[in-house]
Amino acid sequence: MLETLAVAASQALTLTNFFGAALGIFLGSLLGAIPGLNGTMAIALLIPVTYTWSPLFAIAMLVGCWKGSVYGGSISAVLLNAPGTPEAAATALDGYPLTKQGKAGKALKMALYASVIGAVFSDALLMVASPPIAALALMFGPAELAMLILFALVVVADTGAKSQLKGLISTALGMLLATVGLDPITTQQRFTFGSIDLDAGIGLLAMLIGLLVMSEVLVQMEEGWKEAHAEAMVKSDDPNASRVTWPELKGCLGTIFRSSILGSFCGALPGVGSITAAFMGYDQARRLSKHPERFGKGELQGVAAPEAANNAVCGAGLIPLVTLGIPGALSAAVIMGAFMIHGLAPGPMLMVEHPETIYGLFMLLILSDFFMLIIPLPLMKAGQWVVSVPRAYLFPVILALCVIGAFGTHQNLFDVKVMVFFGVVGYLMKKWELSPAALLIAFILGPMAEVYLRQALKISGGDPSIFVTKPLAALFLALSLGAIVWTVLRNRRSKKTA
Amino acid sequence: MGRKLLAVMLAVVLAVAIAGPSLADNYPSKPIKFIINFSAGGTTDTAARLMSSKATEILQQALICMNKPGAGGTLGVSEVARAKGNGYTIGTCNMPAVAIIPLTRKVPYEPFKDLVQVCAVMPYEYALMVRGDSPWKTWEEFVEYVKKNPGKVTYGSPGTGTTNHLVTARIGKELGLSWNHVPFQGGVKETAALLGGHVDIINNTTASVASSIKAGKIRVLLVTSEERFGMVPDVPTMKEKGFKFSQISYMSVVAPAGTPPAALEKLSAAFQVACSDKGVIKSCAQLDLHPKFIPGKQYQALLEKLSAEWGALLPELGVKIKK
Repeated sequence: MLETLAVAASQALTLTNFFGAALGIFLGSLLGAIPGLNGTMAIALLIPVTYTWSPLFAIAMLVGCWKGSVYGGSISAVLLNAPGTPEAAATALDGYPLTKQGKAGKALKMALYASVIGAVFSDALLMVASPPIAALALMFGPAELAMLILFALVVVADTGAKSQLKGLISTALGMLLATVGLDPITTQQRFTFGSIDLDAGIGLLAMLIGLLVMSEVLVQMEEGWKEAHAEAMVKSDDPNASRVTWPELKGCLGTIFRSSILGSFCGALPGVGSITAAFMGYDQARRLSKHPERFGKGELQGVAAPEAANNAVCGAGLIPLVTLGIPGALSAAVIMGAFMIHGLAPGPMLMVEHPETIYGLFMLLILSDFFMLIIPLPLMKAGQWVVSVPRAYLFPVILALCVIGAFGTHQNLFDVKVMVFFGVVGYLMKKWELSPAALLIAFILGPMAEVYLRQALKISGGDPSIFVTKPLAALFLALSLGAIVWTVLRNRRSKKTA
Repeated sequence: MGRKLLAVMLAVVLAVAIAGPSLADNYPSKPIKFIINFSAGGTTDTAARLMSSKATEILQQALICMNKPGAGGTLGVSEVARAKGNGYTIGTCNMPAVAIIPLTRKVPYEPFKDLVQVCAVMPYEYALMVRGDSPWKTWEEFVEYVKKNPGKVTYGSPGTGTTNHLVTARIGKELGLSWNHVPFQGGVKETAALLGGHVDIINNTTASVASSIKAGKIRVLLVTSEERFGMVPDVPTMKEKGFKFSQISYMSVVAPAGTPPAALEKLSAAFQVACSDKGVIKSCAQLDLHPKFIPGKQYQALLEKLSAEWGALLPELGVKIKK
């Protein structure tokens, strides 16, 4: 064992590999921070290049890139209300209000610390607890997943909306849009109007860029360059406006810890993902807070919670990959390709056949978490400088990036049309105080709920009792009902006090 | 080096300027777009990239790999079908994208008119498999159990209309089994459901679960491909068990119709060399993939035969046919 570790260390801890991890983090956070571009894109671009490199260098770089991009997205989310990556959509909810109060630096640093803590937590789990967590993840079959997703839908349905009704409208819209494409069970065309481009459904990334980024540009353009700019640039009198104080961090530690657990859980389950994790993290912080009314208005916990959760997905997303050969998240699936091309077939034999490589990778992962503390700092500064550029110059550039980002994912012009369409939809939603964030999360969760529900019923031969006879499914069904009751009671109480 | 490069570039520019792309002697005179119809990181992607780097060496032009996944591989294939037939856009293709899916729903290409099969390069290897700790040690034991417990057993596939689904359904039909099909979204989720005990048996590619098979977490009961596998040499094929059909799908290279025959020949020759290259074979073997070259015309004929055969069976297997 010690010998293996020594060999692993000698293979992993080289300057070249450090450089790989650092470069990955830099590229990831840069692409993540630029609205319109994102980390999955960065990873997909890097993958073919990495085929010729040593496996550790390649994988360290790819994982670094993934982690970097998940954090990077929060920079534009906080500064511009235009999340650079979908994972950061929840971060914008409280991050941008903080920027408006002149506390952009504080929000960005909190996002960074929460991200790093979440990442370290999840990497530690990957190293010490992979087998039991993978076994737990396997217990989630279609029935359990269907109820878990139902629970997620219930708790995040009204995220970011002015009222519960508007939140639910946004959620319903998202679920409706998600039905476009091939029916996941019968593979018949559904609401595609004969367009092959719609066979694969509405492109998530193109839709996101429109809904979250382009719509924000439209809103701010309408508000007028000058006022919007002046408002965004308010100077805060708080001497700690651009740093996080110890009491503040301490106050958020509980939230960060809970989010890290949630994020790791979502990461380890194949096909749940970091966007869901971020929103569920945000929601637990809001629900458990003594001051839920402060959320959405610049609550620091609302920045820490989603960032810890979405970064905790990365390490945990590798748990089912290295133990079972099953990638837990989208980016992990891409990284699986890097394992395979280097002859490392992911699965239970990976640890037996290539222990040095895997332990070496673990070492690099933990190290890269600490690189995360330093590498994005210049980007943070640059970001703050960029938003001080007059909007008349900034917005056209962002719009161009939106087009590039939408086109770049699949080199398909149709995606650009989708992006523009949802830019307008997002704009209208913001005007009517609906929640693009709720639409987004429903768009992601809706199809999962459908697929898992239908698969579970296929397994049971159409008998719905499968959702109560399976203990984990029953647990999440009960939690969903509990959350609904809890929300109703809370609303009654707040009406009484109001 | 610089001068050499300059000379090559000049030569290329001149060649294009003088001869134009229509002269196949100069083909390929510029990089070739290689559309991979599955996502990055999967079996098809990995094999395609391993082969394309060898083909690049032979053709002296880069094959630029682009992933265009989605809708059972039809999105990538339709991109190839829509491209100009000049030899500068080619792609990977799976059997159902031309032989089965076009029968079940509208696709924007005529599989045997808009596309030319350049060659087939690798068979996908399939088997029916159960969990390592399941009570069934042999295919017969499993069949006996299903017959004694009608309606209780579930089988998973990576999706409705995949060869995995159709072949398994056909096996069930011939044996008169009463079992339920659960389509998953891709092989990964299918495998997870098997390992977690949520379905009893799955039909999957062996390469994607090689590690789990070696570790004893998954047991192969019946090889549904034509020949036995080196990984599990004792497991019989379905043909040996008396079935008159088997699960055949290759990863092939396709080009748009109208691609000059000379270009097709050059491409085919390049992939033939890539398929027999020691380095490629070794890298593929690490992943339990085994390249095998079939000339384009021969594969096209096989596809047409398969399409007719499956087309007649689809309604009986519970798959809707396009109106």
